[in-house]
Amino acid sequence: MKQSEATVQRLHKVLLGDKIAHPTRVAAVLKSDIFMLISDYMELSKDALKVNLEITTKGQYKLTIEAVSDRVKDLGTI
Amino acid sequence: MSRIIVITSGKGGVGKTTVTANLGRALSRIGQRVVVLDVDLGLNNLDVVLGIENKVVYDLVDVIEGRCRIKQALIQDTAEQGLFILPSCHSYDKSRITAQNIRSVVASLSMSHDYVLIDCPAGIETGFHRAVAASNEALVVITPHISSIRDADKVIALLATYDMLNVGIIVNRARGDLMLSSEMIDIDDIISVLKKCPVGVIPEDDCLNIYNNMRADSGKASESALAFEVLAANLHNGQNDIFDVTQRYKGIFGKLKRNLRKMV
Repeated sequence: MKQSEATVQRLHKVLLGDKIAHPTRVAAVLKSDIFMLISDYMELSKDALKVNLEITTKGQYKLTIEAVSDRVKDLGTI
Repeated sequence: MSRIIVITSGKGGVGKTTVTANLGRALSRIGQRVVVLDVDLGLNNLDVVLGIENKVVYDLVDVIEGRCRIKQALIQDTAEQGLFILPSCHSYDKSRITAQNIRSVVASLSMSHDYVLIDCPAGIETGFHRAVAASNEALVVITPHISSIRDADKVIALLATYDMLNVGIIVNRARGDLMLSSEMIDIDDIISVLKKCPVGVIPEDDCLNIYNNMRADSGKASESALAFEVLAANLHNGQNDIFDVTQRYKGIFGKLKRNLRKMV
């Protein structure tokens, strides 16, 4: 393996490590904001909303939002 | 409308001040009215890099505290008539200068100049905020080393929280010989990691140091001067030409140069 290739691999690992340190805090803030937004349209409990922020092996962020609600609010009142 | 560009990096020692000074001169050479502003309070060196340190009478702090007018503090560059410098002071209580102070000075400068280039201090603390908050574009200077690219990645993420029109990167101190022999991270690797195409690539050039020590402008004499010309043209015209730092090390004579450089 060429020296520059090894360096780039090392760089990728370092950046990936930096990114992994972020998501927990970001996901919590995101969840709070998303909850406020969705609550305008649906009856929702905080436990029924799942916000998951993962890092792919390419170093990209993958955001998954899952919400389960029993009732949609009457759009006429919004 | 004037363009207000902060030259930043996160990591220290990558050449922000050198890039600011030489980019200022290169833009001036293509007919632009440029002012370079040193916001690196306490560790300012822009005046020394441009060789005007003995002409400094008033500085940025004097302007902010109303001891002089901006025009009195501006110093014309010795090499380029269209380039002016607003130096910073070497010892001062930095906490007394706010981002709003810098913003108002920059607003005044932008009325009479085409480009306002702000030399940002290293790090991502208050000094960084002061410089970035006054700008609407940013150039992140990096060197082809892991630590520099890692810090740049953080700075780019941080700049995304400011209202920037444009964030570009400049690869400084690139060694064409080492890139060709795969001993240094090359430009394509940097693009793939940072997901950004550089606005400019500046080769490592001993001439910059030598001319700086002589208080002279390298003009068109060096390889780096040509690279700064390409950078200025890219910035001004919105082009995306990349100065090929490996060019002079290609071919038979290039290989010879490469081997000779390794021996030194």
